[in-house]
Amino acid sequence: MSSVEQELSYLEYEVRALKASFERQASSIPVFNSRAEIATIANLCKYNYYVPEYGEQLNYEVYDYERIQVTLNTDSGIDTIATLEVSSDTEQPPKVHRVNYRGGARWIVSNIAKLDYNNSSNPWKPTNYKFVVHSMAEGTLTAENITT
Amino acid sequence: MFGSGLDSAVARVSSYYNGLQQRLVRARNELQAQKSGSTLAYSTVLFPENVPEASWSGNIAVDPTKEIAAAFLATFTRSDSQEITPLVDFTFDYDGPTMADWVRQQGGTASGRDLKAELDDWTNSYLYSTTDNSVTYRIEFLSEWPDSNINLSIVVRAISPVSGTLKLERVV
Repeated sequence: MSSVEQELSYLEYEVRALKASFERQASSIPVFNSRAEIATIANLCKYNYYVPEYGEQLNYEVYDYERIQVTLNTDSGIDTIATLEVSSDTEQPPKVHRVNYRGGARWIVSNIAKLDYNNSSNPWKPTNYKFVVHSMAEGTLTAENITT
Repeated sequence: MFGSGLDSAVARVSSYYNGLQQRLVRARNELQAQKSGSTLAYSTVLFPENVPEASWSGNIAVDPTKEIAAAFLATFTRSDSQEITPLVDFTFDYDGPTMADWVRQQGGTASGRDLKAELDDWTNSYLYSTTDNSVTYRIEFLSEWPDSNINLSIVVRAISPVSGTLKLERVV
């Protein structure tokens, strides 16, 4: 075998080794799963204001939208690519968007209140959520009802 | 006879070097392919170093006859000249008036645990389009505000393992 062929063989060996190493890295990118569960609490909002057209004070109460803040705090404190899975015991699909957050990932999950119209004295029911986050950095997942 | 032998030798040498060249080209292409893909394999995936941010703030005229009061496109374009659609998560915050703000402006009162909750119901956001080197995210604000003119501010970030720029433009 000539020296050129020998060098070429070394090069091909290096390429194969690099490829094997690269594919092992790509396929072993860690995906961490973390879970949290929470039940909503009622967001009863009350409004009272004067309506000139009616010439009277208007009072009304509404079980308003309920928001949950889901936060992944990564152990290393870095932001990370992450996906949030949401499941709940309500038929109305929630709205979900990821918000700006340093130190991991955070989402706000919003939905209408679950109301039982057959129970007019106490129609409100909690919505039960289960969250799973798939992330590229390990962390702790928490969920909480939002108060503003 | 001699010429035929020489021709044969030349042909063998030519074939030998053609073989070497093909092997070198294959090796070079293989190395280049790995270099192109390497941005998804290394620690940048785990540790995005830069999080570009873009913001918009201004007045929106709310027309209740139209479903959407305002819409924005946030486009993340990778800056490493690779022609590979980047992996990116978009995040955003926004702030605008609520029903409670409007009631208080009328001299009334409003109380509740989360008076801003309705804002999230007035918003849609989703992946809009991709190209060979960019991803666009669309954020919509519905015409649900009780007032005809509102001030809105929005801050968008792009979290990606590759470096890039973020552009935010209002399209509606």
